[in-house]
Amino acid sequence: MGFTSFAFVIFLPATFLIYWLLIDRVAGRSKTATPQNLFLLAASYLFYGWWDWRFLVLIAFTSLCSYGSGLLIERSDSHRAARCWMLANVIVNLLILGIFKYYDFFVSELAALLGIDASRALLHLVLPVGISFYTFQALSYSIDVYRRRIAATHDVVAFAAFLSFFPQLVAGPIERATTLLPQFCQRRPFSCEQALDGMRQMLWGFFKKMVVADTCAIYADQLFATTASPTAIGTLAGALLFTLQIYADFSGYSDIAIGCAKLFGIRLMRNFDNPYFSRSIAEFWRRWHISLTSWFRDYVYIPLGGSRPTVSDTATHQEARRRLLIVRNTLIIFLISGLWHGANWTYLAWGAYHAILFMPLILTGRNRHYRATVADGRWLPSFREAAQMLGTFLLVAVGWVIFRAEDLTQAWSMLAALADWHTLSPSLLPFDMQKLIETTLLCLLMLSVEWWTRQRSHALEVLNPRRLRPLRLAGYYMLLLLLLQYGGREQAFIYFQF
Amino acid sequence: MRRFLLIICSFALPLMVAGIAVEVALRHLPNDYAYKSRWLADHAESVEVLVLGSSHGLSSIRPDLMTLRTFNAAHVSQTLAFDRHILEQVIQCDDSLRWVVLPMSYFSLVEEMKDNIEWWREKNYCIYYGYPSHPLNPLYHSEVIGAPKIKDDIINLVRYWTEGTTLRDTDSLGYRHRNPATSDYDWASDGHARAMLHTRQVGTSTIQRNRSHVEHIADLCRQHGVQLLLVTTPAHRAYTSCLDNSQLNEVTQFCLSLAETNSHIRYLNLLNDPRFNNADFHDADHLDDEGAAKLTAIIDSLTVAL
Repeated sequence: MGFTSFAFVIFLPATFLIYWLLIDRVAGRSKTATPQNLFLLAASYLFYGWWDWRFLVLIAFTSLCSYGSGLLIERSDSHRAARCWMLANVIVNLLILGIFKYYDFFVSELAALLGIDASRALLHLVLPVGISFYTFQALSYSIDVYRRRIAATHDVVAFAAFLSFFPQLVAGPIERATTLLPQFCQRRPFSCEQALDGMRQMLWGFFKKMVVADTCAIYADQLFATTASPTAIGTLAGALLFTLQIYADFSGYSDIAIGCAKLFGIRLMRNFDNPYFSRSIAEFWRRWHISLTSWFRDYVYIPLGGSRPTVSDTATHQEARRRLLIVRNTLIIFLISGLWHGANWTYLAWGAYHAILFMPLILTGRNRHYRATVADGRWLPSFREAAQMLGTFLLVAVGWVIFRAEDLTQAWSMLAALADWHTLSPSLLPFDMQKLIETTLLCLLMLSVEWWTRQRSHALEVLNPRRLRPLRLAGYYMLLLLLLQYGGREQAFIYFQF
Repeated sequence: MRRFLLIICSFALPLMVAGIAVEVALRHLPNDYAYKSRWLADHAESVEVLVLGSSHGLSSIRPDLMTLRTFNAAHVSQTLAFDRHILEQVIQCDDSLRWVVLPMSYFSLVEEMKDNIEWWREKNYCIYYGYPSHPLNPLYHSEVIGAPKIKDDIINLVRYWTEGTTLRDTDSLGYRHRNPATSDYDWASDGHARAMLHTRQVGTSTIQRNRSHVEHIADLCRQHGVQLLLVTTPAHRAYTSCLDNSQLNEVTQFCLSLAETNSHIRYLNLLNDPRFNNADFHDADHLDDEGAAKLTAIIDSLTVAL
């Protein structure tokens, strides 16, 4: 079930009340987290099985494989044996992911290249929701056990609950065992403040998803469906609307997931940190889908050698090798990141585009600039900061056109249309301008609130509960009214398909 | 935990009270669904001709011009599933029913409410016609939650209280009056846009479900000795020239085969009927009052003759 489905409206309060009013008391008597974990595991499997019960077999298998590999790594006599068990788990999980997500794509592309008919070899498998997310979480566990960053857990219930925890099961954040698993190993007490904070974060997440993202989607879908003769204004509007849609959609999901986890006494990592207020592409990638970016950094980029050559090289060779490593590893990391999103050339092209933007920054050592929040301590950014943010935003928006297009031909024709200044008239847009203005105002409301609260962990975080209470309450009611006004039937989250 | 529940309840209480108040007010606001449902419940036994269908039925057949006692139970975007549900309710208590007129439009077999942009209309059937769908989901059983826009609902309520404006759009016999198109009406672009809107690539299951609704309607009519008239209503050439032939053939062939194999079924395909000209249309696929009078005369002559 999705977060915006009616089933979830019943599921969440019921799970919450049973968890704290019944299960927590049992856990209190037994003084362990097992009753809580067992209940969360059952609830998570119900949540996941709602889509298709057959997916449960897959997640149970992944859980058992990773749990078993953790124990085997720990019991291994030699480093070599531990490495074998770790690699076995990585290969099994990647094989499952590869078969479900990439097999048909690569077979059909290869067949097209060789000019043969591969229709009989295709599997036409339904992609299990969230498979990329929980597979990566499972991989990180066995790698971290192998690296001795965490001890292998002997509690199979805690591990299965950690891997299938429903708020972050289908679209992240991709949690690390080092931070999330210990939370499942001890009994979680109820905290009123944490639960209220979770409710606020969920409210903001629902606003971003159901009001901003779903409204932008109506027009963005329309513009990307106009494939025959794209116009400059259509591409521009489509790019901007999709840029805001994908952010509101995915960060909205993350806010709901993090807020929902707080209701059960679990803290999840932050997944978005105002990425559209970034002053460079490198800063953007530190703030966008943080859990995936840091996953690739820790488990792919650094094992590949990162940006440091081996110490045995001479000084002149070192600099040349360093540059070569940077180019190679940056390209690999962005291409894999693109491919992670799905089996389509557009995702690979999107990854390559960002690699090209990122490479000059990392080669000149400017990728570590702008670590602090923009306009720190000020209300407004300087002219230079505003120009940098706008430039980064536009570069990112161009990337989203490639990402969103059906294929590379459409992406190219849309981007080429930008050069046709004659088609820049707003009258060429295939929808009512008043509706577009209304959507723009909603986007501005979202961005303004997030700008105002950019140094907080989420937009509705309350630093001083006694301050401006009536105003805050009015704001919450206003958001609920907007949800009633714009919300409606369940619309799937974009990242569910990845 | 108690403090948390107290805070949440005290926050939600004003919202729930306001929501219930608006829900009650909205249900008292006169609308076509409530009116037609009530009318059928009160007068079903006297109806001789029942008109079903979408806007193609709603603004095409004028009960006031029919010889037999006629009621137009069509609604905007009404799909075959709801036609079936309304007929099931009426036919049980209407012994005098002689004809059911079911418009079979270009899109009838490919359209289902759940895929329609106006999916929210389903709540009107759940609330006012007792349609048994999504029994626990308030999206389909509440005016406030199921409404497409709460702002519009509030405006409608204010207009009702201040000006007496209701949501009724039809006359006492369920027909919706339509003006002729203006002299500068852009037939070509309107026809093309409407045809595109009605052209759908759907799976065979949707078509199969819609076929079974029509077959069920046909069976009901046969069991109760009622004649079924399937009508493809007239449309402007600007619309018909943009239609997808295979989608259109699917409908017409299905209707023809039903009429051929069932003695109680007639099929009238007036889509390209030359008797209808620009003056008869409100837009590219809807008749105006004059056009509706012409079509009604054709249907009336048929129903009276048999």
